[in-house]
Amino acid sequence: MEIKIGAEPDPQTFLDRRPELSPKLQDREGWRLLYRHKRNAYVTEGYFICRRLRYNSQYKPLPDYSSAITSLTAGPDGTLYGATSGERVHVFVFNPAPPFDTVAPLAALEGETDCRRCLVWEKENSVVCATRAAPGAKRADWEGGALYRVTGVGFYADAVQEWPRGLGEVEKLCVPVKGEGLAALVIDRGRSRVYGLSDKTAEFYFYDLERKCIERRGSLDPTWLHSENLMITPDGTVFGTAVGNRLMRYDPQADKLEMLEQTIPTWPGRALYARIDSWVYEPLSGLLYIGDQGDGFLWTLDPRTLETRLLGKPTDRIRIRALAAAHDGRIFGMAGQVGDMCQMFVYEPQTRQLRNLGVPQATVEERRYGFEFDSAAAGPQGQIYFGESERSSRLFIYFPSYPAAGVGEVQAPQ
Amino acid sequence: MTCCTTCAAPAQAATSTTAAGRPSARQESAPANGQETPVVEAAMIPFDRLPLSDTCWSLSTGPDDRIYAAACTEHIGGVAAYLMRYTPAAELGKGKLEYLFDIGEAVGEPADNGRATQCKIHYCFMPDPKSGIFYGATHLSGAPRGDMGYSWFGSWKEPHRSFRGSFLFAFDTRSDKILWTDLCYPWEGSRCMALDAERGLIHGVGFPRDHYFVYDLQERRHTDYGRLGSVNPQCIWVDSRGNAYTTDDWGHILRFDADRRRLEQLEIRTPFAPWSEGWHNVSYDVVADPRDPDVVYGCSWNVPSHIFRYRMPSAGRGVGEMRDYGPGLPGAGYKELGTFFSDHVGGLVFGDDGYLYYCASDMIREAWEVTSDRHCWVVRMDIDTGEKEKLGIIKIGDFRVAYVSRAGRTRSGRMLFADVLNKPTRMYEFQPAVDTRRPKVSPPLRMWG
Repeated sequence: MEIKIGAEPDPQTFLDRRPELSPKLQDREGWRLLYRHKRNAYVTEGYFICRRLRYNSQYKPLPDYSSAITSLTAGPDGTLYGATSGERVHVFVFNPAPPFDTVAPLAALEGETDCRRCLVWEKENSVVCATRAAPGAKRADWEGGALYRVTGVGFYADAVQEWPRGLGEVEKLCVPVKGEGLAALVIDRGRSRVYGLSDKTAEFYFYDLERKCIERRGSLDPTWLHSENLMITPDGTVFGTAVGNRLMRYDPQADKLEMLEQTIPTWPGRALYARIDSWVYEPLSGLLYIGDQGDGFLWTLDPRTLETRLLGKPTDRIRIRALAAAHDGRIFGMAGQVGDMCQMFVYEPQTRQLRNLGVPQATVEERRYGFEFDSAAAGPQGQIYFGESERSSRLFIYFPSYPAAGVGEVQAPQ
Repeated sequence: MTCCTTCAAPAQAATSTTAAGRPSARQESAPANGQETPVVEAAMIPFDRLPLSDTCWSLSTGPDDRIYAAACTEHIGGVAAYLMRYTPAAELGKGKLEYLFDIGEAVGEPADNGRATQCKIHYCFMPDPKSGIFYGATHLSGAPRGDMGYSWFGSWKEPHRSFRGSFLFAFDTRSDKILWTDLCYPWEGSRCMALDAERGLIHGVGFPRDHYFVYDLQERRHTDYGRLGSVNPQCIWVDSRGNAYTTDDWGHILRFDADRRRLEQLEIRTPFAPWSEGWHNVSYDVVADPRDPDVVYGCSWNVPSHIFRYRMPSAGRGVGEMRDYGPGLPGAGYKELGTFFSDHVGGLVFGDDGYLYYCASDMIREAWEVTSDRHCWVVRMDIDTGEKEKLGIIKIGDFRVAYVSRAGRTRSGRMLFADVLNKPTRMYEFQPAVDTRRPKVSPPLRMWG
């Protein structure tokens, strides 16, 4: 269409074309109503705070481009551990309890650029993580993704009037698969071993943390199309996917790795894209809740019966990058792809409702919208942690609202 | 073409030059406290043929030394922004006002297409003096036609209503033709932009995700450099080497290193009030020093807004130097009900006498929607001494100006201020007196919005 430059508009045209709207919308009440509707975009059920990735304002936060929190794991003592990705991997610990309520950086892993879904709590003051090369960061002399043990206290004394702070120690355990990165890591503390998966050929291995030796069980997917996740149940059974989106199961008792008939549930024609994007084991139901990468579905896998059940699509986003289970069985998740504006959702198993809660927004310690998250974990006091994944990232902490009386195990205080 | 009128106020001749450089301000009738409030002589130029327009967020000098302004319509759905041009005449308010084109139609997103409209240009005008091209990029938040409002978070990438993205247009001021348009940042608006004409790069910040991006004019594509925070900075500026600068939520200076193509936070901040922790101290308006291409003067988008001078680091080393000139409104202290609207500072522009001129609102806001006692002062500041002088408020007849977003100037020293929140939207023309005792300066063409 040719645009005529300088043609004077007819003012009456604008007035005539103006759609008929209620005059009430023009007055003060109308504007307030409008703003109430707009505000509904944010998560208002429960609330968020965030923490900068530093001990206090005496210190700089973890550097920009290296602060995307791509792994989180919570210990039973209430401490939370995180690992970042970017130009360098950092491992940090968050102590939610007074007098701390703060983050303490533990270690920066020399030469490592990516730690995604690969951090597990081993024991008090000790975590194990696995690395891979961030896109474009693979050096010619890169040996492959490595397993590390990071130990450290991070917190002493008092963080209010004095702030002595400890750093962690790093022990490089091994490079499980030469020339490949490590895509997933889970731990079986009872057997003192971690299970891992390489990022290309899906080489499945386990590493014995006491004997410090590795055993490999072969490639699950030479087509490199597997889900970059491993899932573990309390009895130590490990699940993943293999070629053709089939589920895989490893039985540690029998030391048996088997391909199952079950596949990732999806819509017709969408199997090409279906992957496990995130997962969480929910102990009340004994189910694995799984977020889908291709379409943003939420589904469950019953590890006993192997039944899969598609619960639905909580938002219009096409990935579910982070999932966590609250103590009452509710499942909270973040849906949204890279570069997206995520939405948080909840699945309530008691009512079977899948609800979109909106865009996260923290108001303490910083007023900050939450747009991208790549990790989640539940704390022992009911808080849910979400790891922001940005150029400069924060730890988001969500305090769910209490469920209705009689629902779930957690009751509002008397 | 329209010869605009000065509305209720009779046209005033340009203020005379005085030896002391003090403009001959009129005095309005005495208020209750017995003190008269001076009024600067100015003319109002309303965009009468756009009766629904409500804001003018962008106003810049074009490469042809004429004034370009955006007539924006954000509070009624279904109307796109219009590009305006004004050529001043000897007498204030008697210049030539042109309605150039409907920007929505120009970029292929007509305002009635059911999507959130291309309703604004928000600090995204950039002149290229070499080519004569005037660039502009669009912004949200006008609603689709028939909707009362637009929820940018709730409608993110929604297939039917969502804002399609920021469109860049290249308008040739020599031939009066639109050379090309392009979707420069999908799904989001452009809050502010700066042109690096040498490298052919446009630096921008998107809304609502607050990401920094760079648009390559040769390749016609953008690169995203990640998120800044949650509060959009309102200005990006460039130094003599093509490095671009802006701020994060806390007023830290962020530099985009043009050679390394990397965004980095410098350990220096824009100044803020001592009772504040510096949150929301993003850059609001910034102008180049007429004498040094690596020095800028700016104000923050905060209450109170402080005026600052920032000397950018030479050869990419260090963090530069920051000088705090204090609140933009002289003597402004803590104000319990201060807001970004009632206590706004904007419209920074240099006069030929080297004074920095700007507009500072000083109003009382009783409630979110109600502002009375409208006062928008024209202030001039001596950048060497930091001395500020309130020249007078802008008042045309009974109409009092409240909020000025941006200012532009012609080579002759004529200043134009862009108005926000009046229907139809408008601008104000002002000719400062020149202090002949001061050396004359030639402020450079502003390369950012």
